[in-house]
Amino acid sequence: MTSLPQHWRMAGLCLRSDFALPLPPQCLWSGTAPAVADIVIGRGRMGVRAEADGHDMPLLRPDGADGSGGGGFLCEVPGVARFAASARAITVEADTADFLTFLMGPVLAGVLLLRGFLPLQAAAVELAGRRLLLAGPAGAGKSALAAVLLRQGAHLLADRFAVLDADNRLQPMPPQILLWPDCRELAALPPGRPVRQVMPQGRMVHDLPFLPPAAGDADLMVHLTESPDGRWHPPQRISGALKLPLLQDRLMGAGLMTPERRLARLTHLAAAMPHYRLALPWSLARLPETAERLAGWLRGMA
Amino acid sequence: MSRIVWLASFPKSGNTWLRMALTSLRRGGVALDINRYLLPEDLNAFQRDGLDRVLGIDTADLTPPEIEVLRPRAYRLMASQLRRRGVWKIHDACGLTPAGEPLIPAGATAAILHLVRDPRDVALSLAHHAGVSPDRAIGWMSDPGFTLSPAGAGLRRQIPQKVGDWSRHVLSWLGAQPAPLTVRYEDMLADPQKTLADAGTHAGFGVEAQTVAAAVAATAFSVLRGQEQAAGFREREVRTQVFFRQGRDGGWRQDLTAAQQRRLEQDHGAVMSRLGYL
Repeated sequence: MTSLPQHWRMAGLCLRSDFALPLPPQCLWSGTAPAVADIVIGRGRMGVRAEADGHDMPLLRPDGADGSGGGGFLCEVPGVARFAASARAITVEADTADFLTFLMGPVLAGVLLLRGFLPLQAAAVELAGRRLLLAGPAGAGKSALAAVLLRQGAHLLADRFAVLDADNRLQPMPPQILLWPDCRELAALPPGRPVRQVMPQGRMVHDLPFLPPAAGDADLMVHLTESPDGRWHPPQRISGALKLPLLQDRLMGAGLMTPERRLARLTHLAAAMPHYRLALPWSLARLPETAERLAGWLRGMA
Repeated sequence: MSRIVWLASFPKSGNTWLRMALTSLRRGGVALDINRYLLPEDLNAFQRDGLDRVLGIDTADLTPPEIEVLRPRAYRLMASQLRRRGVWKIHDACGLTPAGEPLIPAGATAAILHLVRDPRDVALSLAHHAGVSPDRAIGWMSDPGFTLSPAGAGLRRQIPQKVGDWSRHVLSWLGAQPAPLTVRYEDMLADPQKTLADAGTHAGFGVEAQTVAAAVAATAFSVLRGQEQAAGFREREVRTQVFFRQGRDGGWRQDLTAAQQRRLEQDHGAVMSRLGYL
């Protein structure tokens, strides 16, 4: 096991961590780490309140008494951990080892947002020479579809969340996929490890044995919805203003951005690539067929 | 800010149908597309995505008790973002979270509409909806631990909802605060005009006779069934053949055996009598 602190590579950045992060070993920083890491993760103590001035607060919220952020944010997971973060540092006060789940998810996503990236609730794969983002709400089937597409020859680019830079280029994320047990058989992946220790029957993280890809342009975004009739329908192009509400819903840490900045950034993303809506048949058993049809559709794109 | 109108019911008691009628009412009695009818302020209390967005973290990585503890907070946050009253669907029994806090936050609640339906018809409808035998559905209805969307091997779009047995569920909402309006499914069938008008008034929505009549016509069961046959219904679960199935009451007389009827009447007789079903 690598001694602490550890240096990791994610989204083209160097992370220095006082904790062993649950990342594949190929994401460890190779060679001499920079003298000053891009993001430093360490322990600390803080007093985060669930409510301020009688108002409930989201679990992830801008730092500062007036909610202005002051360039940072707080994240509180009751009974698990509290985090204080800025664009350069994350301080962790952990009650249990499960803090890593939320550090690797919403907290890192929030830090990347502060650094000018766009973290999206999306998986990403490369297939048929195209890089596509699979966006959707929790339970939409993003990871399951990505996992089944791997069997169609796709290469995984991101799963926990996808990250775009200011030019909407997809950033290299750790080659890991998070799947629920009912999806694992479809994906034919070896057993993973629980995302949370207190949820041994919950989501599992599976490390994949290849290097993170290089950054590159994303070619299209597919927004997953439920098929009303349970059948396959080819992806439908989404036009104009219909894209913005979908992107708004998929942006992680949206509350950490001003509405003006958020609108500008997402408008830029909406225009940067074609967006499609894909209605997924609800049944997991039909996912391999859906993946095959989607792969065929991609290969047939001009 | 009291903006939430809770539309509370045991599953398969007409919740979706009444919400569609209330939606048409609020939109002036217009016809609805059953796959695109929800107003922005109308939510499902059990929809995971809404909770994730307002809390800022994935509930997929929270245990069911952790989610339950956070629900009142999430509802208050969501309600604070509403510009007008919203009709929120909920199937949980009315009670306290593991932290001892009321699941439905009083300060954010404008009104409660509590739908009830003869449990003998509920059993049949539940069996069809879930693709199980009536005996199994009847067993669920007598199970204090009956939970919708329980935590399991996969992630569902809905969070776990503690429904409990039919009698306790009904009693929990009859005793809720603010005092609910109890709406009987059978009255929706027998006198939809009055039932919808009463529900709309209790919820604080404008109620004009002509608009109510138009909303009743727009959401007649035959209309909704026809739309589902033509284009499907995204709220239908994969194991359910048809969501808008019959829209009638009393089907239990033909389709439940004497033993099944007896069991339901034995398990739930007191509450059935209170509601006028016995």
